[in-house]
Amino acid sequence: MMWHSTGNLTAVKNNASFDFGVAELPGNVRLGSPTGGGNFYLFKDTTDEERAAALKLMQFMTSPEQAAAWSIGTGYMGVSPAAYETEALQAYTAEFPPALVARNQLENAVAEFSTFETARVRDGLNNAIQSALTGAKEPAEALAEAQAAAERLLEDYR
Amino acid sequence: MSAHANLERRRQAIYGWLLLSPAAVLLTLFAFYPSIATLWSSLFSRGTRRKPSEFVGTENYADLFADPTFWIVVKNNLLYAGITIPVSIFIALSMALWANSKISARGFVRTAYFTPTVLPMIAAANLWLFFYTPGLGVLDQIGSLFGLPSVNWLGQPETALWAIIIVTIWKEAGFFMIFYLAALQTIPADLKEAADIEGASRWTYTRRIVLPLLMPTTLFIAVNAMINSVKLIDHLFILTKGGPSDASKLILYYIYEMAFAFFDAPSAAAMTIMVIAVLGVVAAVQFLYLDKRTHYQ
Repeated sequence: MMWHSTGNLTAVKNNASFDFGVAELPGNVRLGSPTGGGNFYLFKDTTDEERAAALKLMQFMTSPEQAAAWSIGTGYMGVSPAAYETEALQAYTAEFPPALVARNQLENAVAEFSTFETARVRDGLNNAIQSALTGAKEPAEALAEAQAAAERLLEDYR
Repeated sequence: MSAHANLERRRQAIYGWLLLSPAAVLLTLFAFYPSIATLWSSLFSRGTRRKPSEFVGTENYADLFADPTFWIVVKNNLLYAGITIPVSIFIALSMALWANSKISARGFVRTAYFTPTVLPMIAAANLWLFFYTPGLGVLDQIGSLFGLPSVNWLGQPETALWAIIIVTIWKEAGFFMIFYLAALQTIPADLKEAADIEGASRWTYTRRIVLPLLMPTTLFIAVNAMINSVKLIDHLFILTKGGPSDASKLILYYIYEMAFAFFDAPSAAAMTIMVIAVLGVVAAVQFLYLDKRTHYQ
């Protein structure tokens, strides 16, 4: 079994010499879907031309045709529902349904974890999960430590 | 006459400074200035959009002391140094004495011992990743022949740091062996002859003659091993990324995370300064104290 980003799907499809399937992640108390990816940012302190040019690039990069081509080429999800309405992706997913699994799983996704000092706060949570999984600490104790670490890190923002 | 002597002395001084200047310029540019700049930036708070950077004195240091992860990392690094330095020196010395004696296939033995040093650390770490992988790895395959259960060496807090330590020792011992081999070549053969005539045993010869004559090399290796125990973290990126739950995180890896994952440059600078201070003190002790007790030929 391989547990991987959907962004690897096309590479697997091209290289696997055997039959394979794709499934949504299993769940216990509730289902989930870890989402991620890069964002486009437009800054206020820029000239009108720069903003117009940046906007043009963003519109090109996120256009349904581009998103469909990117999704077919890599396995990454199309960035908008419109991408899945394009002929190219329609044809591709009809022929290769596993390309739809990650998108269908979005139903179970929640907003990405985001706070001040996200990376460090998340590191505390990761450590808590690792401690609980390896049996080093009781889950409650591990999470209490993550909470204490987060409160220490976010002191300045109170 | 005295004017002439003065001129001559000044000429000598200028000559000396000219000889020193290339090293002085390079060291200033790449060692002294960065150290001082790091010290300076460790005294300022991290600038954000809402709160510009301001002078906070030792607050970054106090924050680190209040950070439990920092103490875990310090403890890990102390254990890591405390094991890797003496063990790799001991193994290097044993291998050198062995590879220096009159055995068949001596060249092969030397090459075999030196091979780990030639490998880039990242490649070596990937090799060891293959050894340690549960189920598929070499260690587990061998273990399963004897009916031993599968062990996730890198995945459990009790063994992760030890697995890292073994990789480091394996990597370093061959490198240090080369220095010992070179030093062993310089020991005159007549000392061995004299010892034989006096009826000294091989052990006495090794303890009373070889080891003291190797002391300058040992000192050099000890300083290098100590620096490496702080400096060498490439394998962490491949093997554990500091996990699980910080069990194998070393101080330089934490500095890297602080600077480039958490974007907290002042805290990274503060940690760097502490590392430089500790290394400086230990190196000074090693050179000033051990140097006096070291026999140079």
